[in-house]
Amino acid sequence: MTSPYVAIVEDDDSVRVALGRLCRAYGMSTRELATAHELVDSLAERRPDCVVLDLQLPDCDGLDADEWLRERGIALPVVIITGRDDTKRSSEHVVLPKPVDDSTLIAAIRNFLDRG
Amino acid sequence: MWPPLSQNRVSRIGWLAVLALGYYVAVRLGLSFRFQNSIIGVVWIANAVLLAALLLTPVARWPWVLAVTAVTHLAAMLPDAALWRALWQIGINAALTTTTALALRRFADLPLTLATRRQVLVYTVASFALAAVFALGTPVVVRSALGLEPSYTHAVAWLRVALSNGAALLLVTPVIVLWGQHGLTPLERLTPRAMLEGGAIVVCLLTVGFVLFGTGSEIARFPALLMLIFPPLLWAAVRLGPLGASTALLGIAAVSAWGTAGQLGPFVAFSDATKVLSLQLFWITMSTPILLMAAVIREREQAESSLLTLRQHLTHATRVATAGELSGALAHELRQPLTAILANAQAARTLLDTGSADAGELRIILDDIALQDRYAADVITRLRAFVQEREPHFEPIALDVVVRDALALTKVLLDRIGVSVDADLPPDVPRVWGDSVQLVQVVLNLILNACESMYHTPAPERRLRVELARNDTHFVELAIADRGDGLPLGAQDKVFEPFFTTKETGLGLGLAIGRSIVTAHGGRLWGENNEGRGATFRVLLRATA
Repeated sequence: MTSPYVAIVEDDDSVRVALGRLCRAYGMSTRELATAHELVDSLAERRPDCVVLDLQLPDCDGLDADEWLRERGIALPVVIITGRDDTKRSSEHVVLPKPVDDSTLIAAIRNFLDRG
Repeated sequence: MWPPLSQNRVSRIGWLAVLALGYYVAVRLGLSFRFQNSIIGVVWIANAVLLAALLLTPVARWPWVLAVTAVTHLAAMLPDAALWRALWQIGINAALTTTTALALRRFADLPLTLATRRQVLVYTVASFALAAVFALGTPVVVRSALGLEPSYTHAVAWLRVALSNGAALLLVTPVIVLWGQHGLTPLERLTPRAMLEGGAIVVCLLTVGFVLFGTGSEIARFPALLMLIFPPLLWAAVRLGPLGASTALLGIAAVSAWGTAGQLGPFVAFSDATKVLSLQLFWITMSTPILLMAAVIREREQAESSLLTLRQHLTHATRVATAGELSGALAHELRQPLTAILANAQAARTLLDTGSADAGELRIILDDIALQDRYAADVITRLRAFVQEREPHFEPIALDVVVRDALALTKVLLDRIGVSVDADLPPDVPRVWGDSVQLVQVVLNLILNACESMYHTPAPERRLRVELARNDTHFVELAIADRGDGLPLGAQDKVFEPFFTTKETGLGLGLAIGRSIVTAHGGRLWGENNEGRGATFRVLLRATA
């Protein structure tokens, strides 16, 4: 079995790099992206097994990005991470507040992978 | 410095010794400063010393003060006066001074500072009224009433004693009490400039004093010249406060007494009795207005300073409120480095646990952790500097740094609302004289206002232009232009009024405080609508060079 492929979409360079490192340390392969547009562009290349999506992206809201993908029939497992206190819109998603513990994040990702 | 009597036994004895010496000198001075063989002094300083001592000590110590001065009085008087007369004087003097001190304790809100009009008036009235009343009981007045004192009529003796005591209480007591309370600290605190001014005032006072009272009788031909005394006295009252004013008055009184006794000055042509009366009236008429003037100035200074303190508190309170508005954004700003630090640390730990760590990668991870930690510390330091309450500290300030700080504090908020910032902050713009925290507060408020005004602006058009430029040779101008709703038409200055707000939240103090800060910096803050959309706020501050 190839290692699971996780896309990390986060505009803050330091957070993106660190989350990438964490996922790789747990044996995943990663793709680090700064915007929702980059994510959409990257889909043509390879579809990730799971997306770690920051709620607040410069070009759009993480939830909007997820919705946009669903509307186009691209159903991706999405783990949303957020630095905001208000997570009211996201009852149907896995939303993890920052700073996120590795056990929580990895468990959330693996949960999707196992299902997939 | 006069030590409080409660301090310790040695200093208490030392203090009483100083009192005894001062009182002795005062009695001898009073005795020596008489005209011909009059038994009534021109100014009975001893009572002024006694009253000052009573005002400087708690009531419980008054018996000591009275005992020491009584013994000293006997020692100073007995070579010349009969024992019964000295004892009589001791009794009546003690009665006058303790009654006056009690009256002042009751009506004048001690300690005596002469820093309020009320206290000056109460002090003047109490010392004169009581001096007049108790004069009726002095040996010379009682005996002249009984015909035992041939040189005076009853009324003249009473007037002379009353004025002699009254003038002493008015001129001498304040000087002793005020210096006694402050010690030499007012002198130690003098700035070189204040010292220069104080010196100039002393020179003026002495010059005028010697012109008026140190020259021959020709000065009496121009009585209007006596008015010359007022400019330097007013100068002292306005600039040096009650302490300086009362000291200046005593100095002038001393010079006038010295001159008149030496047959110089404007009163020389009069008979001895008229000379004495003229001197006393001269002292009394100049003292009260000068002391009142010093009190009025001091009252105004205190009102201004309490207003300033209040404004500082308000400025700080609004700063804290602004920080509160930003707290959500700041929490987010701290969560980013914390997230990176945690993920990095756990990645490194996992790499070590799985045995796949290599030293080079671990080093990079640790460097990143340190970097993120410093970033988080910077956020906290900036916030802390912004909200702490402290005295304003004026120094040359680079406005581009101020603007960058304000933008850093609002970065997350600007990102969240999707405001793109276009900042033109040339570093070679001259510095301005100011308080960096207050200036950050002004700029921050302008940025926040701009953000709020762009609430209805379509997201791609939310732009903020910040421009810093040298206005002309003397001023630096900071312009903050938004593309928001603009200022209310026809009432563009209304937004600077306290509690004026177009927002649903907020007190409406931001711009009012901003303008008051800029005005206190000697600058201007105003707003104008743009030709297209939005408004531009401009801050004009004087350049240091």
